Amino acid sequence: MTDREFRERLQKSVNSTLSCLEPSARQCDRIVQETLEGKKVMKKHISLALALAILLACITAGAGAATLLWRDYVPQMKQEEHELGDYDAWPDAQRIQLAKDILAMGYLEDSEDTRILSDETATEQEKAAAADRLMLQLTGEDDVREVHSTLITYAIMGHEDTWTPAQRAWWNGIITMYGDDGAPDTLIAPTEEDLPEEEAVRIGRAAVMEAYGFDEAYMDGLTPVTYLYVTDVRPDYRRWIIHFKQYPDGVGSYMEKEYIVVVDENGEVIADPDIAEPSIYEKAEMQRESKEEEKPQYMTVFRKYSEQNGLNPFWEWPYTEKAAYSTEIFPLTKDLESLQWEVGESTIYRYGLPQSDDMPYEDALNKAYETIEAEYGLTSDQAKCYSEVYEAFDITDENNTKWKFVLVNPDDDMGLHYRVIIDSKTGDVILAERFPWQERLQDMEYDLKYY
Amino acid sequence: MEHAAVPGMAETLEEWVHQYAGEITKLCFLQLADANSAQDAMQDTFLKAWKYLQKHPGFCPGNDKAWLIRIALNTCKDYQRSQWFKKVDMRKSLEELPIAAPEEDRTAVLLLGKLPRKQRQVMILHGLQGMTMAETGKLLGIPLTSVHRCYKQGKAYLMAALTGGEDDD
Repeated sequence: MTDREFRERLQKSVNSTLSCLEPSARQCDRIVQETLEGKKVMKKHISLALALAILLACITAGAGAATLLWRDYVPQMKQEEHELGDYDAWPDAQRIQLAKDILAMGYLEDSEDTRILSDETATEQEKAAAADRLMLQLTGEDDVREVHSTLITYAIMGHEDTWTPAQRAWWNGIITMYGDDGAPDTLIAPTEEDLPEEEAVRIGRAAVMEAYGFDEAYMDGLTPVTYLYVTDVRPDYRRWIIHFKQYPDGVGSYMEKEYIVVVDENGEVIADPDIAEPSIYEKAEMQRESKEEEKPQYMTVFRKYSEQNGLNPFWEWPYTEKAAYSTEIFPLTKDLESLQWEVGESTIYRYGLPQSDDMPYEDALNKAYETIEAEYGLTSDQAKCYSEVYEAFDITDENNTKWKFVLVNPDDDMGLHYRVIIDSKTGDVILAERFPWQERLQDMEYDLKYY
Repeated sequence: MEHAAVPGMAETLEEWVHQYAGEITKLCFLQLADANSAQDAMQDTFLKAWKYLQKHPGFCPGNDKAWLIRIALNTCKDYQRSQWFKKVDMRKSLEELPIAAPEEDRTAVLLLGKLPRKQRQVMILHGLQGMTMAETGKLLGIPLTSVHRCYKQGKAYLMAALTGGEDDD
């Protein structure tokens, strides 16, 4: 299979398997509209992860009692969705009943449409249409196909980031029960015996400040979202996980950053392997290391040469470039114990330019071609097919400088390659070999053949 | 609305969504192994792009698609940091998709999803999106040598599995 055929095969597989994820033109229009309004389109079958990012609709004062009613009602609607499909597929009678029930719970204001619901002179179709309009009004949507129990829940109870841990635990139970994405661990409602939420947030906040060196003002800009959980592995070990979220434009905009802290029942900041969550201190350290790794001056040199060589891999640079690079980077790296790997490999050998007593480049290359003809029975024309040349003048041992060539057939770059190393002073062939490109594929040493 | 004050930008967004939403959703699925999350990440991608355009009205990304893909990959990375994505099973996610593709195609996607993250990203960008290796390296912020290596290794793994029926599951 050629590379092109391979890619076509892969493309076909992905398109065939994931074509159902492509939004229709209508859905695209909707995404555009919502994006322009700074909102996000809500999906019907919403995952918990998505739920965590849904926009805020504040829990209004006085809605507490009604919220409890909706909480009791949600399982029923979930069950109906489970049996009948989404709201837009429900028979008129069910849609009307839902609207009536929500009206009775106090979430809909009186209007012409609420009047139609109980108008004995109105037809079923008219009542169903009124129910649809009311659902759209409640959810803020403009398409009944988007109406879903989850949307209604958020319309009534607000963004999940504003909920209490108990509400999140309740919701997690609901969505798990009805087959939506469940969390890998179990959210639970706090009891009086648990470390208080406020205390967990205080500990978590202090840990983030200590780990990252943030001040109080910065932390005030973060929204803490708390969950109490246990895991299958340790069902009796109750832990708080606190997400300090940064919403640049307030809750309801997209989340730009978050810092996650796990605080256990003893008030200790921990790493939790059950949910693969490192401690906040480890994460901060990793971030610092990552930044420090970007700093070395030698990387600036590497990037400069990399860019002036078209970002091509090191082995493709002309030997003159390798020589200049090696001269410049060697003083910066010679005393360092560890290097980023791309620099590490390109500094294993030192490179330079041939002197007057060295075999000139053209002669050495001709010698390489002659060698593969002689050693491997190639005709001159066959050897010339290996026109892609990776070249280097190796001065690692100043008393034993070498020309190094890897010869590749560009029309068969996944085939055999030839490697020839020549003593630059005597012209003797030190090494001639051929190798399949994929030889020792997983071995980091493999690429060194090219250096 | 804010966008009304910036003529032409809304049209640009519309063009992007219609042209790239499908590709970006698929890319996000291959990163997140979850259909809902992929759609969500796709929407977040456009939302972030739009917000960036609003803040920088004269901004021209040059290569629109590459810019959006970079935002999408970063968005997926943010999602993956969330604890909820640690145990997502792509096989299960594929089974839940409404349209059942031929088994061999699903296997290929499954295998692609099982590659190490960097290899997978290279396979997606270079192997699927048709970006050059240099573009891929630039977009992922890794040297071309890494791109070469990731592609070779990823391709060898997929080839071996697809042509030899090997599956390490």
